[in-house]
Amino acid sequence: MNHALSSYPLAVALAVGAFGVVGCQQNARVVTDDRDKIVSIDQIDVQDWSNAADQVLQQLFASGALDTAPVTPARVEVTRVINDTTQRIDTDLLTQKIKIALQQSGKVAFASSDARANEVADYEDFKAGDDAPRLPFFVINGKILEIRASAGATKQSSFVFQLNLVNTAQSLDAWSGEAEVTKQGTRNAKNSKG
Amino acid sequence: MKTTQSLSIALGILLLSGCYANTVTSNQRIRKDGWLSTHANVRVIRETEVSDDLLRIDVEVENTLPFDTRFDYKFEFLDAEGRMLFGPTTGFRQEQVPAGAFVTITATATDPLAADFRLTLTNAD
Repeated sequence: MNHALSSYPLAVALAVGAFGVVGCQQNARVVTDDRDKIVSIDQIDVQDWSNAADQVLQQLFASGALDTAPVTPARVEVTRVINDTTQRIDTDLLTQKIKIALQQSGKVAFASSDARANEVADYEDFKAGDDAPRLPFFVINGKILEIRASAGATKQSSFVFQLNLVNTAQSLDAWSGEAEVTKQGTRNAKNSKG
Repeated sequence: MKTTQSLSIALGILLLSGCYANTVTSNQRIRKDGWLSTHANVRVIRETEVSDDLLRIDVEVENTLPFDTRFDYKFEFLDAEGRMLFGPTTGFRQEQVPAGAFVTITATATDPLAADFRLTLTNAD
């Protein structure tokens, strides 16, 4: 009896401990809502790409620059988006979203970078006796920058996304846009509610 | 007996607070929850077209609370037959609004087929 009583607190402690360990664990799940996605202070999260693309697209559509092309859809090429951040990032995460949205608008058509497709198109032009090169009317280029700051334990990262739409006929920037995503905190958060 | 009564009261309070937290106000286009149901005043909705045929929505949201706050919002676009249109940048965005002030949130449809929109305003805290 005495032995049973003395082992009781130990059993309770073990049970509480086990409950605590199980409570800290979380089964994997598919996250579809942006608000439930992890927010990192010092890197660009998946929802930040979408946010940045949305900001620059709204500016681009509002500018009317796409409507200056002599034909619709105007031929466009993405030349270079420079990564000037401390992270290794694939800038296609930004440019692909912009490509999809611009193509959806019906105002532009993107030149393919597929070697085989270009080869076939060159052959078709040759057969038709057309030796004019397929030149883009617009070129898109840009840069992604990072600015860091801290105050005590609080860290802040700003990512700036700069894009230019260049009119190749005049070699002028037909439009320039910029989006910014700034995040602040002492540690990463599991979701947007912190 | 006393325990049962206390339990009933606690359960009642829990249910009531649960109902309050889930309060959703909605019209055909704008859905609000949390503090936004009562303290986010949608002042103006502007529907215009940019780049010839792309629907742009500007919505002025006023914070009638006596303190600064944040909210999440998401625009979705529909075609003339009410079908949801895919957008590569659709998702929740966050906005901060000072006490008693208002902010303008905007969205532009990337598809010229967009004829209508839905806006969800939800508590960010």
